[in-house]
Amino acid sequence: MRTMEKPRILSIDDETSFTDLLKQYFEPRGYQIDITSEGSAGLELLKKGRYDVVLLDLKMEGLDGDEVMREIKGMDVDIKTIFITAFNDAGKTKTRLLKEGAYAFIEKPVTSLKELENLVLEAANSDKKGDLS
Amino acid sequence: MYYMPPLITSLWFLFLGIFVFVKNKESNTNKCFMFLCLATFIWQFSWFILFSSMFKGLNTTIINIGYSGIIFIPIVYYHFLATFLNRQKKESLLINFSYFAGLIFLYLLWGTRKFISGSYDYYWGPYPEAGIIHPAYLLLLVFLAMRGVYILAKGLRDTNTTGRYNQIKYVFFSLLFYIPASSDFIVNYGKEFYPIGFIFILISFAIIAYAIVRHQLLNIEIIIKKTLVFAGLFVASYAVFTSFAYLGSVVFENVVKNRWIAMAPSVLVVVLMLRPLENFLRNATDRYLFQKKYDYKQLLKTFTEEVLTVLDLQNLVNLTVNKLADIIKLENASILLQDEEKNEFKIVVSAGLEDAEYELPDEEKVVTYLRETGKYILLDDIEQKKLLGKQIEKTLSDLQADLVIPLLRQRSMIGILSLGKKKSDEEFTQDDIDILLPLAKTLAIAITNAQLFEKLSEAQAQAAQREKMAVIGTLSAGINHEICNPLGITRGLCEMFLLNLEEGVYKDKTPQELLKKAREIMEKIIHETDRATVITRKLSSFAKPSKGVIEGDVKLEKELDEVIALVEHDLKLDNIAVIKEFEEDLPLIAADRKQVQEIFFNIIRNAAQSIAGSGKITIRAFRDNKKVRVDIEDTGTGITSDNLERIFDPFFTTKEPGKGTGLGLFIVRQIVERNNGQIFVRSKPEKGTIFTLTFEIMVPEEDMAFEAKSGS
Repeated sequence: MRTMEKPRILSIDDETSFTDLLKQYFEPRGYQIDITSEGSAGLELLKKGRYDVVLLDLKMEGLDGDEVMREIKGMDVDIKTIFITAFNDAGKTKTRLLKEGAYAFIEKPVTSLKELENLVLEAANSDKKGDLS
Repeated sequence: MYYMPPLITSLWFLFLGIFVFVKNKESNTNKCFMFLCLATFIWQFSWFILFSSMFKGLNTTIINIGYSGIIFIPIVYYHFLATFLNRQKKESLLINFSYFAGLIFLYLLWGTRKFISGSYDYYWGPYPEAGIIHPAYLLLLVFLAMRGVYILAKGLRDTNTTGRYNQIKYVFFSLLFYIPASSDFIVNYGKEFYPIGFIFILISFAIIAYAIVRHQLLNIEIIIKKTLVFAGLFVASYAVFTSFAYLGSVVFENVVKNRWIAMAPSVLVVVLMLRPLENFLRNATDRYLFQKKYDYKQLLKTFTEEVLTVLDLQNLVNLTVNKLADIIKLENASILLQDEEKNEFKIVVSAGLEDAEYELPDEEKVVTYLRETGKYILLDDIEQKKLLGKQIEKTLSDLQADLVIPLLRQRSMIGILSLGKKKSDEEFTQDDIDILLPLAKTLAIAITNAQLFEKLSEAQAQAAQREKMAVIGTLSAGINHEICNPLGITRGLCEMFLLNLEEGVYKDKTPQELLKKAREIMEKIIHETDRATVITRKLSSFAKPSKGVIEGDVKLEKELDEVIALVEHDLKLDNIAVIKEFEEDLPLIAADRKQVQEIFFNIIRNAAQSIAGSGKITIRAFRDNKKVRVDIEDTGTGITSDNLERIFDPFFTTKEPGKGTGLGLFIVRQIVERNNGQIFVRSKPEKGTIFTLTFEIMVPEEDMAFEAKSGS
């Protein structure tokens, strides 16, 4: 347990209605959440601001989600990455990304915002990386 | 007695005119012909009354009535020829002029004594005397007759179909025989000899009657029962013959004096002549009126050119029975094909049969006989009938068949060709059998081919469908994205609203604000649901097997858009841009929509797979001559020239195992060809590939009708 403060979230997803939804959900609940639809813009935000959790789409135009994660790893900060994607290749990518250090991998459609919120909290409060899926 | 020839002639013409008119009331040719007959009837019937001296005081009127008919004979004759040769328009000036002249003559005839000045008193009765204007009429007649011969000769030269040629030929001969009838006019100028014109016009119109019977002249098809003609001829000839024999007996009576003894030699001759006369007439009717009623050459030509090449089974059997019944003039014809599942032979098509539902089990006697012997059964063959027994006779009468021929493929029988009686009551001759047997053999081959082709297209359709389903699997990333995202958002919005209510996020909101919030959410939900619906609709429409129906109004751009909607998300993620360049007002094409989509889909997918990293696919469509051409160009890795030659081969693939079946382009080419299109490919390794498709432009229906007309 680090702080009582709510975790800071960055959502990167080319599906803007999805990021809008996240913003509408998390903000009234006291979270600081930034959204963007491009991987490169997301990296810019990451360099400037401080975030605890990144919600990351996998397949995007331009920079892909796994590239963004690699950049984050290189930044030497403790940010948890949670993939949220409709991409499905029978678990291969999921396994690979979890091995590479992703905190969790959620398939779209996201079944519950409440569960996502819990996952974000859990991720922000966990010290170890990548033991949950 | 001198009044008999005109009476008979007039009645014969009256009958012929009415008959021809009744057979086709719409046709102008037939109407003209009827008027010609009526004019001739008026002439001859008036002469009959004139010669019989029935109404002595009315001679002038009767002559005027008769001549009213005569005046119009050359004119109506010419009008008939022009109509018959489809030259009404070209000849209209001359025709109108002639009618006008005819009216003037008519006036001169009734109003003055310039056309007919009076009458001669000949030994057979009164006869009109030519007036001063009469030669002018003869001039018109000569001109029309010569011109008539000329246009008929021209018609003969310009015709290239045998049937039509024969028709014109007979009309031509008929005219040549009618012309000498004008010798009757000499009598009008004072030469006293009995007018024998009736002989020529009788011969002339006998030729027409013959041509009607044999060559469907004036579009009248008559099927004469052979027995009827034979009976008629036999009675007539026998009557003539008997009357001669009677005359003989009268002469003989002068010698022998006893009437009964005098009759004996005549009776003997009559009885002795009975059989030979019958045989002679039987041969004559067979030879001249029947027998060659249908043309073997035509039968063979129709079958080799039009029928046996048809690959569609139903079409093939339909054409076969219809053409056979039509050309040989059969009362009915049908084809039974083997139904392997039910172990029976079933009528698949019939013409002229009342009950077209009929099947014969495999073990039925006719079936076993045909199968085991491989020979035909002819009901008229009395010996064969005896040998086969009642059962077979019954089956054939159920089928209304006179002749059944097995359709054999190697040693098995695939079907039965069943032919009914000839409409003319004639029996099937050895000549018929000789042509029908080889025809049945080739028909069996054609049917086998059509059946195999049917199976093959089924298999192909299944392969195409499997390929498509496999492809949809690879599609799913994009589809998934397009469906799962809206679903997730919809659910999220609802969940959020409920949680917000529950957790008190909305506690400070007024009811109006809450309602506004709810409305916003609803609108978003509708938007997202619609988005998912669109893609599922497109997907399910694409996944459905095509019906294989060529439609005449396919818009290429629309079908391409459907396909792009399915693949664009995948392409976008792979950084492939799709550029569409469609010429404005591109004509519609005739094709199967679904198959056009399949074609585009396969080619675009291939193009996308050939692109490593980012790239673009450009689709250009434009009018090229009488076709619509589509070029699909990619910036992919290209195809080596070795592979280029083989890419349309089945099972050829350069992809890793599991990535492609190798059927894609093979099927694409088949689909393209099935839609009357063509596909070409050009490629440069490392530069990219261009697939070119061409499709037939849809011809609007009015144009099509026009083309068909001008083509005939």
